[in-house]
Amino acid sequence: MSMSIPGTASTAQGLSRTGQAPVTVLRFAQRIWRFSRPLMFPAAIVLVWSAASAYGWVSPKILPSPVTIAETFWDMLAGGDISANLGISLIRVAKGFVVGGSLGLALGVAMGFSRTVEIWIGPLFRTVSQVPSLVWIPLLMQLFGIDEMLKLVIMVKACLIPIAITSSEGIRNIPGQYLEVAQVLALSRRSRIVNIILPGALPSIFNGLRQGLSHVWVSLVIVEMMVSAEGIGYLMSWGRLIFQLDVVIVCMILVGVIGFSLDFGLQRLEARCLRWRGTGAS
Amino acid sequence: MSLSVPASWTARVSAYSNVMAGWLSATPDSASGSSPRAALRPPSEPTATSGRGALQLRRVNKRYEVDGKSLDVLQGIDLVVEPGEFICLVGASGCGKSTILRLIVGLDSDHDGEILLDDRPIGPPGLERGIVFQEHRLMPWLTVEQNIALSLEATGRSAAERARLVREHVDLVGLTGFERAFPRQLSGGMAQRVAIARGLVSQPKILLLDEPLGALDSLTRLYLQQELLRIWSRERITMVMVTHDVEEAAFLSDRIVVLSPRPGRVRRIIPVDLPHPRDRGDPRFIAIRQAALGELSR
Amino acid sequence: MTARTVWSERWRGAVLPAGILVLWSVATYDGWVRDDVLITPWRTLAPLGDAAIRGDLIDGIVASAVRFTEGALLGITLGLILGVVLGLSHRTDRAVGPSFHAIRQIAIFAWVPLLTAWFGNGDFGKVVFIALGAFYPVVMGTYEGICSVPPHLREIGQLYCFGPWRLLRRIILPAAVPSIVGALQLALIFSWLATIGAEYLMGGASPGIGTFVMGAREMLRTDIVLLGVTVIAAWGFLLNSLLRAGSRRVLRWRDAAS
Repeated sequence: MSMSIPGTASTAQGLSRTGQAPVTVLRFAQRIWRFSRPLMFPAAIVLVWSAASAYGWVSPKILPSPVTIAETFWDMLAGGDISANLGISLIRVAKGFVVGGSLGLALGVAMGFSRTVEIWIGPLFRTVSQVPSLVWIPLLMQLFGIDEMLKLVIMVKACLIPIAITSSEGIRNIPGQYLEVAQVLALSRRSRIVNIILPGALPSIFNGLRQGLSHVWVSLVIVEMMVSAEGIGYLMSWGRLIFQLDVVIVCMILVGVIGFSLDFGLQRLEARCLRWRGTGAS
Repeated sequence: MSLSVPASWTARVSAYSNVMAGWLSATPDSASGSSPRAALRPPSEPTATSGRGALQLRRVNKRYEVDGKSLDVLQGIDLVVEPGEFICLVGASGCGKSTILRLIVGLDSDHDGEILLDDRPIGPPGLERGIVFQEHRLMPWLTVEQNIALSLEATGRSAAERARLVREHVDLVGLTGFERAFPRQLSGGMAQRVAIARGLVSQPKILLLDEPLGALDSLTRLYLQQELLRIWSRERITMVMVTHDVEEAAFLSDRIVVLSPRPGRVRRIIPVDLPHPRDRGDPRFIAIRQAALGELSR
Repeated sequence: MTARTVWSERWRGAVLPAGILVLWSVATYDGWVRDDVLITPWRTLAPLGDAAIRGDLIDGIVASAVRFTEGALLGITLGLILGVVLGLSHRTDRAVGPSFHAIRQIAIFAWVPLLTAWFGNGDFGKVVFIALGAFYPVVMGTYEGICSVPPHLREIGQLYCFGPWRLLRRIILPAAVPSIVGALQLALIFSWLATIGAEYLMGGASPGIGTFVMGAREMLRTDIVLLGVTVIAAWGFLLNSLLRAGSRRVLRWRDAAS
């Protein structure tokens, strides 16, 4: 596929016979071209968007221009709105994920190792897990009020379920071949768990952790939008209330960026812990 | 990083001649008229019932219940394996050869008859019986040396001694330098060599091999046959190997045990009295191979 | 495992839920728990006796179902189109793909304030939101289905001189069907979630089951809230079971053919 920058191809050919530098320039230019290609479409959108606001095709109240949004972002950052609210949300996420994650792991490990636990608790667990946390919100609001406890309960439910399911499946799906090796090597029960079962279940567990974290973030934002006086979700609904859509859009972007970063961070952790898997497996 | 087995024939020839050289230097009385098998044994001549890896199967039967009918997998297996001997079990699929190994190693204890190791009945799996499976079954999350060291987990040895044993066995199978590699970085032949090291590192009395070379391509298989011989001659451990490849059995073993299928029975035991290294073109070799094939196709 | 052990396991699995149900009923009866917080199962069903409430409930269910269908169809159609385009054209994928993935990072519920600002709290905004819920998974599934069509299948089409339309219709789309079907399942579940969420968040301009529940909450009628939530959960179960049965049907055909 020809990616040559117009005009430079033949020149580069001619010059390369005489020196290295122009070829390097060409390759560098090609790299910049390749890097900026994914940005071309969004850049075009942003241009059209700015024009729409500038020329009044769309009311700036309905669709604030990118410039306004950038300015608003800057103001909010400087004014501490972002750091305060985002900080509160992230602290909540941390609490919810740690509590929900530990409970989920404990439950998942119990269900994975003990057939008895699986028989007694499994069906109830699977039934409850079919109904997403979102649905329970009005009921939980009745039971727990509308402050921190509610958010914690919702977040815990959101991540406990995927984590428990994936970790119990990870433990139970260790290939029988490996368990036979444990038998013929006469490994103690502890050694079998530490050397074979837990490492083998780790990929599934990480899968569940990533799902759980993403669910925690989303459900927190939802609850904050509905019934909170602080946090990024609240900020967003407040912006909506006073019809400052630039605030709303800034918050939307922040929600996306944080969601992505949380998942990305967990992915990097997973890659480090599962180095034995190599690249190409996810 | 090139991790594959050397494919060039010159490399293979030089590996072969290394084996020969190792052989000639390690067995000074091979030039004399003593039996070739004696050259492989330790100086004191052990009998079938001394305590160094003598295996006995007496009237071993195994039966499965399927839909209320009983299916005989093994019938009346009688076998005596002397310490330090290398025997191969050959037979068509379904004749129960892998089942015999599973019974010996203790993964399956549901059988009639007796299985004795050094005159004592075997029990659940223990480290005195090592096994190498057809799939290498290495833990993907452990390095080569950690996989081998797994064998020593249940022993009470000190860390220093474990490290020494692991190192020795990595060298034994010819994988020096690859101790920190993960299984996914190894070729099939190399992974199987790690599995062999894992089977040997706890110094078992007997090593069982269940079609260990079956999953490898034929070039690697030939190479690993040489390696198995080299390891066996150094360790002098009783080896019981299952294979469907009659030529492999004739090349490696002291005796070939031919099994008939459904139910599995010992049809014939063919002694292979040829000195190592064996020439696959030697008429006596060919005669033995033909005899075994003849038994199988009867 | 014998049939008897399977059944005894099933019974044991039912013990806990049954126990909870009993405990729940008894807890409010004996005054252990205040009974405006925790409603007995019987009191949950009681509001059904009131015709007005029953009428509201049924209106809500119907309205939500209609919006669900509209939104899901819209989202699935648009998603299929974009997914096919991205899957077939590497150029478009390289140009538009990264932006799509970037926007996808924004949880769909974060779109609600913007959508209500643009479209108000009425039906249209909700349908757009529901469509958004279905849109993402369908695009991803279709895209991956098309990308993972093995090249040797495409080569067969080339050998028989298939034109691009025929190639798409006879080879690429059928090969992508398993992935697309999986994506459709996900899309329907997400649309359902979006339907409920839209009504919780976008408020009560129009009837709906979620609006019904939220309204009851504001009136502090916990029994009606519980009733509504149960109906919603039941709807979810029904959807899940239908999807599972449906996918088993499709898979069985596939397995039999292969």
